[in-house]
Amino acid sequence: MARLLEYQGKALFKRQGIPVPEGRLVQSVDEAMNAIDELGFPVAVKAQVLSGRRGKAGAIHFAEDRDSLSQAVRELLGKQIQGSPVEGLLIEEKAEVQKELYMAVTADPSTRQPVGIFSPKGGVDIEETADTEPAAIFTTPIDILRGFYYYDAMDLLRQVGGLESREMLTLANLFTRLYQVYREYDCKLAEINPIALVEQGAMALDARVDVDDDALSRQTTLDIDFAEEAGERAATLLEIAAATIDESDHRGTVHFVQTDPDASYARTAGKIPVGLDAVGAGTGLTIMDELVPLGYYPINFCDSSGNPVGSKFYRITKVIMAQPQIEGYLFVSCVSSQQLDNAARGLIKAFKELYPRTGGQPNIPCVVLFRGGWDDVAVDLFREHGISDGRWIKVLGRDTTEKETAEIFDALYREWKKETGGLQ
Amino acid sequence: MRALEFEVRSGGTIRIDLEKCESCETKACVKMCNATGMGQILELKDGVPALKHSLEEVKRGACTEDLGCELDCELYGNRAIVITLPVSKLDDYLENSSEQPTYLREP
Amino acid sequence: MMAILIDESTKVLVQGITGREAQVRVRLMAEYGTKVVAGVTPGRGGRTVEGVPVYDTVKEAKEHHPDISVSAIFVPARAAKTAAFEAIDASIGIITLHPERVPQQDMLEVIAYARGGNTRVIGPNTIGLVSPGKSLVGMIGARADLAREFFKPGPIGVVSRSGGNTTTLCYYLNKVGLGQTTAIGMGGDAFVGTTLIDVLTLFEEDDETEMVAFFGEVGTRVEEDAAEFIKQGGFTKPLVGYVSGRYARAGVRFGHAGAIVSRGRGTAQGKIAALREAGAQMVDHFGEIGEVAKTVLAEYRRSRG
Repeated sequence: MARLLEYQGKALFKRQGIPVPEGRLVQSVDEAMNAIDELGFPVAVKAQVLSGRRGKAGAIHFAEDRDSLSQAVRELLGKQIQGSPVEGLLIEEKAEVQKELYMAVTADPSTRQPVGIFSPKGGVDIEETADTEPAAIFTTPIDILRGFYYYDAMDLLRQVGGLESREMLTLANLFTRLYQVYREYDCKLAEINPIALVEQGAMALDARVDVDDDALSRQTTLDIDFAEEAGERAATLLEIAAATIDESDHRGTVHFVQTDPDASYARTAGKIPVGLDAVGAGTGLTIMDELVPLGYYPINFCDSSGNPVGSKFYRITKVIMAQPQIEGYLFVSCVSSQQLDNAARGLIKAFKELYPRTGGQPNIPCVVLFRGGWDDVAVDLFREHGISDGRWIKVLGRDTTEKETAEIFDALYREWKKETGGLQ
Repeated sequence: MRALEFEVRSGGTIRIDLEKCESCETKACVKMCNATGMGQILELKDGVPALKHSLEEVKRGACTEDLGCELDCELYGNRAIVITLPVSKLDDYLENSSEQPTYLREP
Repeated sequence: MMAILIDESTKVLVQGITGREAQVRVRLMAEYGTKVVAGVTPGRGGRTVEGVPVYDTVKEAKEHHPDISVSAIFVPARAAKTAAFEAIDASIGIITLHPERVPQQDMLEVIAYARGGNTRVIGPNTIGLVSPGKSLVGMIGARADLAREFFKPGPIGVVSRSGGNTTTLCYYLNKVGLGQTTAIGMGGDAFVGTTLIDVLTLFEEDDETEMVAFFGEVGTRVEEDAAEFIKQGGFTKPLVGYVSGRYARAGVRFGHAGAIVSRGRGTAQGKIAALREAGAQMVDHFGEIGEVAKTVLAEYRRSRG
């Protein structure tokens, strides 16, 4: 999903009337010094990165004076936090907090409707609370056609206990505004953790807002540019390149993500990194199920669906093969209704360009599985173009299971490794 | 040099070197384009491939980019067709990558 | 009855019929033998597409064809909610929502709206469904000759969260001689109108369906909820299944919106364990599902005499 940075989420909160601490986004010490003239000390200095648990990751500092502020800014800017470089800092007035609470609106997968969630235990990971102290979490289903009103929230908050009437009203009003944020900006999750009860009322000290990427085209006021969804990190250069393929042509999709961009996960787990293209997400997952136990880890995932044109297969193959860590490649189709001959032509053109000296025969082990529409034509094309004769490629037809495909790849890889010693 | 050059929807070009086509005995590209049941944008005119549609129609998606013309020309024709399909930003990636992709390395 | 949801008597309306994709699908359905009786595209009333009359609204189509039982919706994702509301308002019995990338909250609204009416919603992002030899709705099979090759009549109910693997599952079943009563792609999104529980309920009630074969994926609570439902006695026939994605890392979306493990929830291991505990026969390798289904069915038949 498109997850917003804290300062972006807080901007949305502000638009809907949810109080947030006064703050400024800065990208240098100079900007921080200018900001402090308006804010005054003490302040919190918070790295704007997508990873969760920033407190534990050392991404939040506090400053009492110009020296400590300048030191905090210098330390945080350019730092890597869980793989993401810190490019901006949010400098905020430090609030005097009396109580920290939790509030969220999201969709409940089982009831299939929005749900309001409240906990008096704010500031900590809500999933942990759910596991260790489920009684501290209060939820209310929301009828999306009817809406969510302050008295719905009051009735939820009454169950919590220990909240004064005035506090409940303040929180109930905040809750309905949070629901407005959820609805207005097509959120998958709108979360305040923590909400601080302060002297003047309640205030959102943090903001987690996940916007539905399927709704981004109508969320024009968000003014945020997202590449393909990358989960809890920013998109990689290669993912951005791959995303351009679907942007320029809507005939089929090639959804590409790097599941392990630097192959560090594969290497730590003692697995051999490979590239993967699958016709159908389910097939990609199924071939992973077979490859990993044999010692191979696909460092990318690619779902080529909706009958993509041949040029898309050509382009995505070049993207997949551009990953410098891969020691093998697999193309695997489900028993598909797509025109697999188009896939074959895309792959063949890419292979011929990548391996001009051998006429398209690869130098790393490659297994290509065609099952479904025009699968026989696809297999024939590889033969006609002389690629199937290559030492390190196997082109398989319909009567092959995912397990057999993985085993054939495994045998090919072992032979390759033994004979060539692997890549230099 | 006489050539037929046109743009395709995904952002790329197909260039057919018509001088080579004159001596081509198979005209495999035209056969292929009409055999898929989807493309059908090429026809023979004065003995060489020509477009059945306007350049705009072809660019809007009349060309289904199955790549068959180029591949069949290479096998059965006079190697007269070059399809150029850039992947925007892929070169940026390759230039910035500290490691070479495996296809440029030797096992 | 020998199938669920659709059979020889099914009469289909196609919303968005004048679109390019819909026209291809109309041809598929008609060539397969499905009765496509009407289409709707606002502003295009009075035309015909593949010989099918086009109306301006669903209500108008229903006035002319009161026996419409299914509406297949092929409109752009942004128009899916309105199209579904229109079909629900016209009391169409079943709608199949084919567009991909329908905004999640639109789908929550459609699900809520359908609760108050008499309409079953399948999808979004569904490949459709087929009762082999009887009727086909949507895009499953892609071409009539392929659909006839990939789906055979028989005793197995098939349900899949993955569109492509609906066909693969039927292929594996056909290889051991097991045909299908109905094969249905639920749709890959996190929020779909007809869940695994709903499909199991339908197969439970269908006399000709002797057992169910299922393809699942990481993400959502679909499998966990179904396991609970089976344990409570809601589904009593044999169930064989495969859940893919044992090595899916948390936070990565695998292709479509539903296939994501977040914060350690929705793992394949958890789903497999829950379904096994509920008595389902889960296979370790997808390619084995045909053989296992055959054994399970033989045992089931023996136990029932």
